[in-house]
Amino acid sequence: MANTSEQPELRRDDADPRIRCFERPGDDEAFDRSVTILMGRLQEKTRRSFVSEHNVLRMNHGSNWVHSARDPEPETTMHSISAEWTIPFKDISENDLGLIGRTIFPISEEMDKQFAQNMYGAVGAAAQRVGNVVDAKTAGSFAHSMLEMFRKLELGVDRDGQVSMPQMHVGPELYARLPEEMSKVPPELNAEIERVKAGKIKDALDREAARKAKFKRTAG
Amino acid sequence: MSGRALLAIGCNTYDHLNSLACAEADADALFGLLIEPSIGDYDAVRSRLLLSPTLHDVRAALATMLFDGEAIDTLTITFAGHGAASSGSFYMAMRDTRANALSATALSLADLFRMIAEAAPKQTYLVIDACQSGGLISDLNVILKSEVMGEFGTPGVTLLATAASNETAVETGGHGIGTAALIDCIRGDVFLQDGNPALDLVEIGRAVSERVGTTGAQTPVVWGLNLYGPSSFCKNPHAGTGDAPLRSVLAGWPDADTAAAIRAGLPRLWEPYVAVPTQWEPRQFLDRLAPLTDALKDEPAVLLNLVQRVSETFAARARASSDRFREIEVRAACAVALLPFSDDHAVVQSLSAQCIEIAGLVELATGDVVDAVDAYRYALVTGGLGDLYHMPIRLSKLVGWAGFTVHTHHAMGQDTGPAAGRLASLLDRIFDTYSLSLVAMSDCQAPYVISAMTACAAAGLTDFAERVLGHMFASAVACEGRVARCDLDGSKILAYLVTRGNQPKQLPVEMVAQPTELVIALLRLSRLFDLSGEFDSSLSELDHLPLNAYLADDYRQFGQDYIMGGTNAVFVIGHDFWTIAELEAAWPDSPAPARPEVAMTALLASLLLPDRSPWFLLPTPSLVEAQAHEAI
Repeated sequence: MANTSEQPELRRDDADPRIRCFERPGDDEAFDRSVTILMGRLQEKTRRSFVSEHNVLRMNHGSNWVHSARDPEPETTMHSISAEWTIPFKDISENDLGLIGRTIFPISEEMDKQFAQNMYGAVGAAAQRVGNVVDAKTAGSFAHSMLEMFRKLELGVDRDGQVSMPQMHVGPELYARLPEEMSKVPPELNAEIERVKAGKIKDALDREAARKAKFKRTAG
Repeated sequence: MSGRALLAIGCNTYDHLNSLACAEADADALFGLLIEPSIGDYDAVRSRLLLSPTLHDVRAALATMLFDGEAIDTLTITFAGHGAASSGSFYMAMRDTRANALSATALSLADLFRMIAEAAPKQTYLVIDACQSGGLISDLNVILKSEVMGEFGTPGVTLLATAASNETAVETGGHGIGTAALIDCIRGDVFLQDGNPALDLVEIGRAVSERVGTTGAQTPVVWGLNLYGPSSFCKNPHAGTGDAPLRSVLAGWPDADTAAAIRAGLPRLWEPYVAVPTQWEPRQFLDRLAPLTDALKDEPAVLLNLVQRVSETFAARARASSDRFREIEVRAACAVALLPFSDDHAVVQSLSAQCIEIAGLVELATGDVVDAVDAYRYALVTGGLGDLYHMPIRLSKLVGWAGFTVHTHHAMGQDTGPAAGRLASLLDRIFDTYSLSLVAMSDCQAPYVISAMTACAAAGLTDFAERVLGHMFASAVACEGRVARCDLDGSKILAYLVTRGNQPKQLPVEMVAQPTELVIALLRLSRLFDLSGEFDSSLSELDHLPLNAYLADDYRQFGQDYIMGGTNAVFVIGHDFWTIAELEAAWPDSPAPARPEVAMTALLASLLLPDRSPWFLLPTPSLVEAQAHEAI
């Protein structure tokens, strides 16, 4: 966030000491709206990297939801993400155009961070609830933890009938050594992973066929 | 209006307290007004006027009014007399009230509320104007204690209370000042609104508070809750008139024919009049005023009378704006509205007086800006990130208007010293804190820069001007002359700033002034301060930049949205000229305003409507050459 140390404090014992001249509030409002729109676009970009557009639900009212046709879910409340920023008057008075980047991008990064925390928090809690947690140390190796992961997860089928493979979100450290770990998976374990994967794909397609079969069809 | 009952109590005579002079007159006046069918329309049979009554008289009157006969829709009780607060309760003192036995001998507000709650009128209005010669009330807010108001079970109650801290200071026209203000509102002498057929006590109370509060003598309290329905305290004398607040324009108008024409045109001014404290669009104002002034073009005296009245009316309302220059801009717009009629001698004389008056106001405002910056150096930073765009323009406007004062005093043959001193003080503060905001940001800065720099030249403020021009020209070169267009939409400003800050060469054409009037102004102004050589050496960095100066030939039109005639003097750097001397040599002749009053009003037009520039402030090169030859 911007450095506020150079900004003199407004006098506490007085009203706003600034003097307003040639105000055009319409222009100010339009500018503020354009900042909001830019922030929204940046957030949208971040959101797309985590969540498919098909899974985005936009609600106009309320702060929670319920899938009453499903089993109860533990987390059904909306989370707010917010960021605060300070604009130093000194930078404004010096017409420092770099201030825009220094203000908007940290805000966006902060909101991205909170969004990611919320996402991983929600996914982690859901996984804990159904026991879908794989401990790499207990599994013994990266290859075994991959195998266990495939055994525990369920694959989905997209709207075109294609089976969706799981996304892997890893930290920077694991990301760096992932190619090496993948190359070290023994062939027999690799074959087992492929076998489990093929079974999961078949299960997903079977579930999808069963789901679709629940619709009523016109006879003939 | 039916089911309406009024109880007006005024108590001058007290057996155990000091007498009062105005309370009975207050009650009598309110009763007389509100009982009128055309004003309050309270039912005369069910209403009561009690002058210096005992507590028993009041209770008896309330018992009859509230509980005999049909239910009351609207109940209004007014009380003028001593009020007293004791043990957190509020009491109205009657003739036989004793200060040491208030609970037994005075009418407590809580008791009154209990009676009203039992009778349950749909709407109750309670007006208390408590004179306080005995210093009985320390805090009127005791009336609003929740436990007291909580006793009140009816859906609507509105209360207006005023209390004098010094009795002698608050009598006006034989009434307490609170009652006098209330009567003014009921009569319509004070305009509240013209949208509803009836007035509510809350809106009346707000106006009374404004008037009474400013005297410092009273502490008004207004509290209102109306869940029942529409306002019903009294009829609205201004309902449906539409032009009511502008009525002062026509007050005492001498000519019935023109009055009718003006009355028909006034509603067009209604919207800008209402908005002027918060929104101000000089173009809209001028366009709406033009039909009225055009209709009076053959009667200059009437025209001047109208514009002067409009100016005063709008200026009074503009003073409510937080913008220090709002009143100045409003008065300037009224002067500009007279430009089309500046062939007339009386109009020219009026323009002279108006310009001098506006110059005086600008000097005061400039002084306030200087003082504000002295007290708090960032006093001019009034926006957020948007100020990165608006601040350079705001600074240009400040110096441009300050320049107007120098030009006006010079043109009117007055001493320019004080105005030049103000301009110098302002520039001094700007250099201290805002020198990096002296940026060529938007083409709309052109008229302000021309006004300020030519004023500097006239006042010998050479060093100041060189610094301003140096900063602005450097910033223009840095963005390759791609300053924002004059009418850049507010929603595009962020994009303009981001692109200008990162890749100025990539600024889209639709955002920039093409051609630009600001850059040609900077180039021409450099000649006044011997900066041309320096600027020449950077001209290659502005290669291919198109420039334009609109040179009017009829300054009577200078306030129009679209100015007919005149010449657009277009130049392209690197194609038409390579040095500023060549630009000057190629500069076309154009007529200057015929009179100094017209010139100053045209300058005002360019300060209000910055898509036109006062090129007439710069010496015409051919004349300069001729004078130089003569000198040789």
